[in-house]
Amino acid sequence: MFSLRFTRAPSFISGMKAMSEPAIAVISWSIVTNIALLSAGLSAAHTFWLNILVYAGSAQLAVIPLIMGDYPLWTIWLTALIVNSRFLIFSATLQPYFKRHSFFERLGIGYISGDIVFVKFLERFPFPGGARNSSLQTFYFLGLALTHWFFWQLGVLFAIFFNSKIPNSWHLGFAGILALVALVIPTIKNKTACVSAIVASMTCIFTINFPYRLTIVCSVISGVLAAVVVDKGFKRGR
Amino acid sequence: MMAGVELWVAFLGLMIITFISRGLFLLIGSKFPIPEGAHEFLRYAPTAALIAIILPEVFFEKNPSSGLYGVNLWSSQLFGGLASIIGFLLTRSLLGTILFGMAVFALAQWLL
Repeated sequence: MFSLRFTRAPSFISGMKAMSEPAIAVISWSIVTNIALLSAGLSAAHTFWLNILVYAGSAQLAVIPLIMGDYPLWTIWLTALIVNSRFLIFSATLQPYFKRHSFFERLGIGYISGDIVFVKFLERFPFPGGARNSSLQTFYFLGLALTHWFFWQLGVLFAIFFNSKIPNSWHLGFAGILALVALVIPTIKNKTACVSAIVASMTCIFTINFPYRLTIVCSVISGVLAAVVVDKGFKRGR
Repeated sequence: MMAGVELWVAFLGLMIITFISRGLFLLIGSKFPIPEGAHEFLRYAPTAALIAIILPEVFFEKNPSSGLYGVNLWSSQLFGGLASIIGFLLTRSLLGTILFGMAVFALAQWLL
């Protein structure tokens, strides 16, 4: 029987705490995303269930014009898959942390991971800790991810109920971006990370107009490859 | 717009895609283990992803008709973004980052 005892584990609580800081980014992203869905013509009920079922903001934004335009289902699904392709890389990164879990547990762990959860988790656990740390990591991850889920759905409700009352001049989306700035700077803490970030930035600038937001996955691939190259260079230099 | 059943089919398909994209390598882990050496570098993925989410909103402006991004180095977003970096370095806090950035963003909107 599935037990909720884990919610009292200290590492679960520290995961919740770690996510409460970027919560402002999560909520503002959620509100901005869902106001966009609602103003594209999606009903409140459909918006609500889309977030519960799919829970992937950038993919939801990308497919909404296709849904409204009555495009064939396969184009909608393919678009979502391409927009979500960065998560394939994330899931490979998370693999060594959660290999002890059952199939369905891993299915759930993957489903509730997202960009910010991923960043915060790797900040706390840059290396998979082996058996001793296994449940610590899992609880911390669940603390992060379930808190993220909660704040995201809170933003959905906010968007649905206050859609017409949230003025555009609030610039919520930009506040969300600034919150990400505070998340990204501390992750650039050594030479390899710095070069990787610069290469990712250049790639982003050059691929910015690629369709399906492919610029994200292009930047991720080039950032990771840059880290490989820099590291090889260091080892040769030594 | 899609109606009734087709819309729900679309949603369910999208749900499966979330499961696949976020879970694929987690699920096939036993048959396709990620070598330790590769993990060493995959750690740099999240930073790159965040950068690719932030930059388009700071250095660029989206053309509303074509939907394409064009560089804009004289925008309130750029000044707000730069101020947020200063805000982070000074305060080391998320709130400080946002307050600094939004203050300069609002000021720039008023001046530009």
